[in-house]
Amino acid sequence: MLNTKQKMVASNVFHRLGVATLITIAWVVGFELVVDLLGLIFNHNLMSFLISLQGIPESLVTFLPAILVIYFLVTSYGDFKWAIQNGISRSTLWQGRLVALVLSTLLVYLIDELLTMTYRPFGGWREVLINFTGFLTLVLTCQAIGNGFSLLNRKWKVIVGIGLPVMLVILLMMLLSGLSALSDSIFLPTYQHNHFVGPLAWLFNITMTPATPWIIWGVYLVIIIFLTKFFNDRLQLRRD
Amino acid sequence: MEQLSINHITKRFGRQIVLDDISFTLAPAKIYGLLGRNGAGKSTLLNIITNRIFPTAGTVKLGDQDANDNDDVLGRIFLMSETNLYPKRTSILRMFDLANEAYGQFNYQTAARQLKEFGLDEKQHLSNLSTGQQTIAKFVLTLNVDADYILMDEPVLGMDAAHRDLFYQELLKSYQAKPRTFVLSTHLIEEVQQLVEHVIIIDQAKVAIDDDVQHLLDQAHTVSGPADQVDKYTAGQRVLASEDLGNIRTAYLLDDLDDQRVLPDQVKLGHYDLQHLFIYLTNGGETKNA
Repeated sequence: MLNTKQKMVASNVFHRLGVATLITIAWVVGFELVVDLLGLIFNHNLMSFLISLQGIPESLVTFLPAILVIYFLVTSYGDFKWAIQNGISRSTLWQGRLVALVLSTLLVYLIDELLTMTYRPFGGWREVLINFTGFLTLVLTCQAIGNGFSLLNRKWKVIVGIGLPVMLVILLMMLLSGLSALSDSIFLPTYQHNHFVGPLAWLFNITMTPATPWIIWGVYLVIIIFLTKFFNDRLQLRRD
Repeated sequence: MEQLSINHITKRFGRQIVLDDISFTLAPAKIYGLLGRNGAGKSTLLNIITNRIFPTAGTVKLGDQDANDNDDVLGRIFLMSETNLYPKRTSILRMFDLANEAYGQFNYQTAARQLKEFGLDEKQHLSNLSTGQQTIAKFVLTLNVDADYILMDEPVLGMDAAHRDLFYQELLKSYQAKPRTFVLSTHLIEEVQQLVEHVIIIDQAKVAIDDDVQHLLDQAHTVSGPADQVDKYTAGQRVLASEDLGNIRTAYLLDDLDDQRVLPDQVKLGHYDLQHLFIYLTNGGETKNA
């Protein structure tokens, strides 16, 4: 069960997230309505107007998850400030935000699924589970990035914000060229009769089991949650 | 109620040492003055006590509990700081509600009365107020929070004289109604002199003075008269500063007077106030008369 301060953190996240969501919905619906109404005025085609109204849920399906992702990417320092002003420790802040993140992700995903069903048939429970875990992982990853960036001042935010993606691209390119070089050598196994044979085959055969993606996802989730806590516990008031 | 102890706090920003092995204790239900010149590290110290920033070394403890990442301890300390830590468009009432949720038993009734006296409305947003009004809103919040240790960093920043007068009245009323520890970090020493019982002066990153105000003022003597006689009378004593006007010298002592020493006829004794003590002490002109 959550204690008073954890509930306070979670309810504040919901409050601010709710306000952000309502503003977004108002903009999306308002903008689409204005555009569709202009179309109706010029075309005088009621059927076309009614059909174009059906595009509103599709737009919301795009924007609602984006709001959630952006919220957890940009608000960790803001939440830390009001929390520490009110005598809330970093651990409690982290726990409260994590609970709020899981619950809000679930809620947004459910709303998203319901909205999706207005223009696309239900894809089955397995698809729902995979999509939800993917969405949860994305939001958690953004929270970890947001918490990490909260430790940096403006100057370092710019340096890391530019440098990190550049470094990742270079690493990815090096990895690809390395793999390409390996594929020409005798070190890579060959794929025969539904499995790999040769050197390092055991490593490649692991990827053939159905549990492997879930294990990789689990490990990634543990690392990401650890990073959210690691960065959160180092939050302090900045001088910029 | 437990004491709040600050133990060997050191804080470095890069190569610069802001606080160097600071230690002192805050007792329950006492009013403290935390003094220091600009950049002395007062705000940094208050931020460390409330766990807003980390010290390079040292600990802050309430009783035997470490304040770091501790809800129980942090829930008993409240810092009214210069900087606004609330989200934009936070109303005064919302600040009260947050304090009520986090600390419990927020005194809404007194807060409403105080807001009215200062001419503010609880529905106003903090970011829409002037600097002085923001200070007032934060002050009203601070006075009505249910915390044992109330720390105030520049609590009269931007307030006009009339509001400052009201501030001191309300502070005393609040203290009398519910005695708890107040730490006032301010540059307006003259104004708080009558209010504070104990003073901590930070100078050159260290605690220069940690003493009761009355004891300090009892030691703050002026000795004036002919220069040679003043020097002779103050020999071996702690002289913070001296001023010469022709042959007349005035020495500012921070020491107990020696009852055995005969006061020459032409030498006169007097006292000086806390503000001057602070100035002489932090000007670095201290000498021990030979």
